[in-house]
Amino acid sequence: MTLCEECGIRPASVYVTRIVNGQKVERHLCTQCALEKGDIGPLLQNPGWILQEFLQALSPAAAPRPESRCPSCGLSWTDFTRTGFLGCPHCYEHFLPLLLPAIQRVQGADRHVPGKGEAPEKSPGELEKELQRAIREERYEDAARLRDAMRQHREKGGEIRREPS
Amino acid sequence: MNLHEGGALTSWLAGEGPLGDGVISSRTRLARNLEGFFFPTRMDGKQAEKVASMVVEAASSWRDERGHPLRVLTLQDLTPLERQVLVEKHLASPLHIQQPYGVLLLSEDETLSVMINEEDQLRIQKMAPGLNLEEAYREALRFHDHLKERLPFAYHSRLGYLTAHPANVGTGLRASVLCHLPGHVYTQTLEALLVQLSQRGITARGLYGEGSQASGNLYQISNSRTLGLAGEDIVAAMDQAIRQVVQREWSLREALLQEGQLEDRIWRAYGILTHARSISSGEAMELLSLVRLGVDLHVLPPLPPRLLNQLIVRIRPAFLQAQAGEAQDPLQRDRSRARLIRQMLTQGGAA
Ligand SMILES: [Zn+2]
Ligand SMILES: [Zn+2]
Repeated sequence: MTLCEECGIRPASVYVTRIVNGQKVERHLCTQCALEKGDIGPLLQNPGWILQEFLQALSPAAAPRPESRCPSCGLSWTDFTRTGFLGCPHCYEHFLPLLLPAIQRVQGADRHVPGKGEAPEKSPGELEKELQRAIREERYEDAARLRDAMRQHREKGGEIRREPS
Repeated sequence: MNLHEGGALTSWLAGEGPLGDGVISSRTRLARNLEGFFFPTRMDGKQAEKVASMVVEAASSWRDERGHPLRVLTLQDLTPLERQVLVEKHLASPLHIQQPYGVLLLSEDETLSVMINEEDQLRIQKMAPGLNLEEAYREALRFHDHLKERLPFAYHSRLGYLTAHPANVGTGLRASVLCHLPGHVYTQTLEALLVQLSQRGITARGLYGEGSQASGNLYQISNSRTLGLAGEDIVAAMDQAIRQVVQREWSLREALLQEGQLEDRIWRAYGILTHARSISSGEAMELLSLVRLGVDLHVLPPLPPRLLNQLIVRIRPAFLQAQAGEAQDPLQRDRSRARLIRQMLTQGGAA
């Protein structure tokens, strides 16, 4: 178990990567320290932050409320708990904080392990987010590569949906 | 249509597979959906038709080892009886044949099938005789990769392949085997086995529902978890667990035979099946299980494994009617069933 690099007492539960003047700074923090230092709050606005486990660290208040609806298909969490069926691929992202504990209970795991030769794929939403980040950080080669990936995705027939900001 | 031809039945019920005296068949199923479309429970007819046409188009360039393309069956174009036959042959699910926009893709030998617009948009299914999950998985994956080059499968960087129900998310993989477990049933150790399996993330149910007598000691055993393990590891764990089950099944059978009552029961079952003029599906399944056990234990003279496997499907109600070419009431079906079994057991499957 890794201890928090800030307080050195509590176990680290959050892995924070920050780009400072083009330098990548990585830190393992506990949830409290991450919140106190503001390392979680600005996450959603500041594209300079990549937070692997941020959803686990969000306070319950930040999780979508049961009556909130998936912006893509309109399914509510209440609808889901009644039928057991999600409405569309985007529901997973929208309800992720509510879904992960449920999935952990049912599956005994909450992370996919790709098989041999299974190239990890990115959803259009994830590609779009990465593209925006690359543009803001002026990583133009990365941006071009991401645009290619998105075009390929479109050519295979998928509709690119923008993530709600 | 020729959906009820005996010949087409032989591939996954061939009975030549590894551990064929305990495992009838293996099946792997991959659940997939397309990015940009709702899941089937939430999609409208227009979306469902678009998904079906995209999948059919992507699959049209695929060929099996002998160069055959997949057949495309639009379920609403089939008669109710033909649809029911697909269910009895384990090619489509009862849910699937009710779907207004359901389409089934089917390989020439009927071992590869794709249910389109079932619970998920795609259910890719590959069957193999005996215990052969590894081959079934490899072949399902090969076809999957063909589609993946042409279709945008819904995928999440953390959760893997996305499915309508979170119980299938991740690999979307269900690896299952159809096992014949009379040794466990007659020694009343099946319950204990099911508990042990569930502790290893494996579930089992009777072929035709929970504890049903009509199941003929046949159990469908499959992995319950689809996330947190790579597909090949799920398959390897299932393979290992089933090998242990079959090994124990064999020692239970030998013990039963030593006790001395089994031989008489087997011969009685054989006597009824080769002489009865009318028989229900439940009784037939129970007695055929004893005959299969008798052949495995060399109590009875050998019968081709293919023959006993085919009977599992051919004595089902819709299949009997399809073979007769007419609708039959239950009493007529019981007579047709008895005749078919007599012919197949005494003439070595010439029927
Ligand atoms: Zn700390
Ligand atoms: Zn949705």
